[in-house]
Amino acid sequence: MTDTIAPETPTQTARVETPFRRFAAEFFESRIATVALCLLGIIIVLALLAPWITPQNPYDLAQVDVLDGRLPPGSEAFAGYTMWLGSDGSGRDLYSAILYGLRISLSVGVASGIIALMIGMAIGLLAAYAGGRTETIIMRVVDLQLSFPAALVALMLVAILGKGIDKIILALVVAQWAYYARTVRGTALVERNKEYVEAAQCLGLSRLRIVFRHILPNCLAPLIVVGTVQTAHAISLEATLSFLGVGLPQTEPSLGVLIANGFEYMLSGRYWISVFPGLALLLTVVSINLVGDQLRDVLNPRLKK
Amino acid sequence: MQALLVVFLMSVIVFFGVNVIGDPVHMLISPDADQADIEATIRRLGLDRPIWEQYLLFISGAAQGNLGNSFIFGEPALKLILHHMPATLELAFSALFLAVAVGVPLGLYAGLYPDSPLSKGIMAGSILGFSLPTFWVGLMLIMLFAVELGWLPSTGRGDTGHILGIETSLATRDGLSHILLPAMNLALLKISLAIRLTRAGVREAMGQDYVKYARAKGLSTRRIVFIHVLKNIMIPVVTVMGLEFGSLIGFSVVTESIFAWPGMGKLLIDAILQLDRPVVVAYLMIIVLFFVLINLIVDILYSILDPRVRLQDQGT
Amino acid sequence: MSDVLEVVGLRTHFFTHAGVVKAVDGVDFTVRKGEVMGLVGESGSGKSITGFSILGLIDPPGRIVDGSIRFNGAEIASAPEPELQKLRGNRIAMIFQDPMMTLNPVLRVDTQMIEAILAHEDIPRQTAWERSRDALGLVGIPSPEERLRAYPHQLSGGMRQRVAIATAFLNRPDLIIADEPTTALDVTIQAQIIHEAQKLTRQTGTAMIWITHDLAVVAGLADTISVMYAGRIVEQGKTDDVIDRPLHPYTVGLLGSVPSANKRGQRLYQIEGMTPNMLAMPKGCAFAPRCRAAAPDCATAPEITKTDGRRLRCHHPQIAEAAT
Repeated sequence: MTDTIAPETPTQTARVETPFRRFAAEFFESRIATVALCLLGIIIVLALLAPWITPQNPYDLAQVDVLDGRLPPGSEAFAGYTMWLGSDGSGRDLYSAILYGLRISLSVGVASGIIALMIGMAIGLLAAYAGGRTETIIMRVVDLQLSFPAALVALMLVAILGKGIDKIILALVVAQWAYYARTVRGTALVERNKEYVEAAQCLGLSRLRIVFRHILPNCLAPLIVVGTVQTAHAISLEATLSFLGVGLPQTEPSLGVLIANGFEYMLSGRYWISVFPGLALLLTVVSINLVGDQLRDVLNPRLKK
Repeated sequence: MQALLVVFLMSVIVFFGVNVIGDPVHMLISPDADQADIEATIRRLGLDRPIWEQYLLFISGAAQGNLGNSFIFGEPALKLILHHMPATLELAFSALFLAVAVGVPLGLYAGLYPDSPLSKGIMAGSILGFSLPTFWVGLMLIMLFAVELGWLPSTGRGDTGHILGIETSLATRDGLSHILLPAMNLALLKISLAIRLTRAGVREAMGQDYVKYARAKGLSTRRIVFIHVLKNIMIPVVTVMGLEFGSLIGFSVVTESIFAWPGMGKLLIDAILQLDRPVVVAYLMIIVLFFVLINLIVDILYSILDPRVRLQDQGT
Repeated sequence: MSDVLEVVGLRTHFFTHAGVVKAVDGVDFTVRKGEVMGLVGESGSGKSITGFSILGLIDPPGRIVDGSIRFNGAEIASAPEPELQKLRGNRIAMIFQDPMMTLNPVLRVDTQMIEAILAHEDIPRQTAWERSRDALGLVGIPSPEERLRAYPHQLSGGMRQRVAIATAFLNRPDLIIADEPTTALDVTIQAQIIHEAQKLTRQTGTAMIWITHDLAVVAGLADTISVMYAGRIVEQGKTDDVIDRPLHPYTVGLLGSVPSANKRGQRLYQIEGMTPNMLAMPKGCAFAPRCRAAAPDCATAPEITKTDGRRLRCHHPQIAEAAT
């Protein structure tokens, strides 16, 4: 076994090198996608660096002054720095609050995305490889769940589970695993009928090995695409739930919580408390979606001419 | 058969979700109740019995239309939901109407003239429509049309009138002005969907031989587009949009909360926030029923629209 | 007999990203009243595009770049769309290759026939319906009233093609362009359809262009034959002349590849190679790379030569070989 694979290894690495470069070149062909990717990069860096580049920790009560409440953008805070984006109802600097909120929104979205991807992938592979009744039952469940909108599934779950970051992540995972499962199973179905899988079977490779060495790598491209789009969806969904007051609690203020907090002030014309966190959410979701769109175009061989 | 199975499964999930994952005593009994009350309720609800027996109790109650009483209103939860349902249905129907009335013509244009700048604008708009979170769009609509411009009211249902004996906001001017923003908000995602569906359908149909044949017969472009092409793309559009009606009812939770629309979505959110569990359970069961019903109706619609399916069914 | 259609120097090119495809590159022919012309060639030779060009149904990126199409004496190659629309289905009708694809699946047969009449004539619907019914009867469809109420998928392929033929004759056109109308059908149905079409042209005096890749089909049907290769006519003449004494090596090859009784036991002839890449046409004679008679002078494109009512585009006519 080993000696049949060993001579291939150098060519394999060479092959991995070229497609990646071609992929990158194709990706950057779209100017919009390039801008979106840069924007996304900036957003992630800002969120990661939040504690070091913001004037205050908006959730350290010692640093927040209620007297600074509802100040319009550009006002000077009591502590002396300028609140470029204004402040919210309890006197938090919005710029700081948004960056901290981004951290939470992004981590919830990414964490639920990754967990859902893992679970969905495992179930999808199981369905595709077990076949027969197992596959039928799994796919029935997947279809059943997909016939309900993810937002409703998540809402049902938080209604049952209650608030909290772990519960939100759980709800988002349950709401999304089926998309991954369907994607993996679809790709695996196509792959398992191809000759190389048959060839691998003839070589006497174990099923597990075939699944992980041969089928899984082929599922990666569509999984990346679905993963990108679903992560954007998860972020947006979490914000929606938090906005409705059934998502994250005030102690874990994601962008959705910030927007909800500003909602009551909006009718009196203090737009900034809701609008700026909303814009941050918007830029995040739209840039992820645009990147995802381009990934789909580049990774999907069927769309290539 | 399939439908019954779904309802059954969902009742199991909802029931065990509420009763096993959470603490049923805290969930089903008002926090204000005293110890004696709690024990009485536990006995009344049968919480001291084994879990499968509780489930049978719940199911037999549900079959008789009894899903428990609301803690807040003291009324049967089901009655409460049904009372709020017309407002939600009216909103969802309006949104569906908007989605088709706006989305299909735009999609048709984008499909017929794919290279025109307007079409590219339409498609960019539809991508945006997919990306924007519904609640955020709702906020922006309120800010623009209610706060800044002051053209339209942002909360409530307004005056209602009667059409065919149904109380509805669509019957009065005031009601219409109230429903416009929430319906727009709810419709946005579906408008984008309708645009994409229609455009894809038109693009596909225009390349078909039957369109070229229709042209070879000397038919006017108008007849080709509005009879030959539209009739073909209406099949997927009606099917998908019909299925999306369920998701409109689901999403109305968000829109109703923002616009203080007194429908069952708002009722649900209030119930969740006030731990009014019987109402939550009742809402979930009703929603599941809705989805099953919608799937059935869409299946029927589909077979009416597509002669190929219709006649096959007759044959078998 | 007068000329119904006169095509001179027709060029229809497609301007694709990869380059200009000269699908039709200088085609001349005339079709006289009541005459059937067979337009023969391999797939990709431009014969269908020629048909669509006459009807003005060339979509971007394609367009007619040069040439004249005179229909009943009037120039229509550059006619505005509304005028073409009046001609289509009315004076010039078309029958398509695949009857499965050409009838709209969600419209009933009567709708699709009646609309073809009402598009050109302002008559009561009932009258149009009666005419449709009679037309179906003419092409040998039993119980036409019932068929009119049917949806296309309820009819067999042969039945659908009869509907298409009946539709083509509805407005008593002067010319019908039939684009491989029998290719998608069974051989037995094929013969019936050809018979019906032939009968109707005789009865109505309608001229017809029968596009096909099968010389055997047009041998018994057409009055004249035009053989197309790579966007050009390579040989043209009366059917008997072309079949009995083919001059162009390509026509010889096509005839040789028709399985027929008098060559039993003999190996079927096969034209070697493939139709040329339309983006990279060979210089000179397009057929030369596949031609057995190719010589150095084939590097220059041969012009059309006329002899005894026949037209030929070849430096090396194959008279001797055809005699064997």
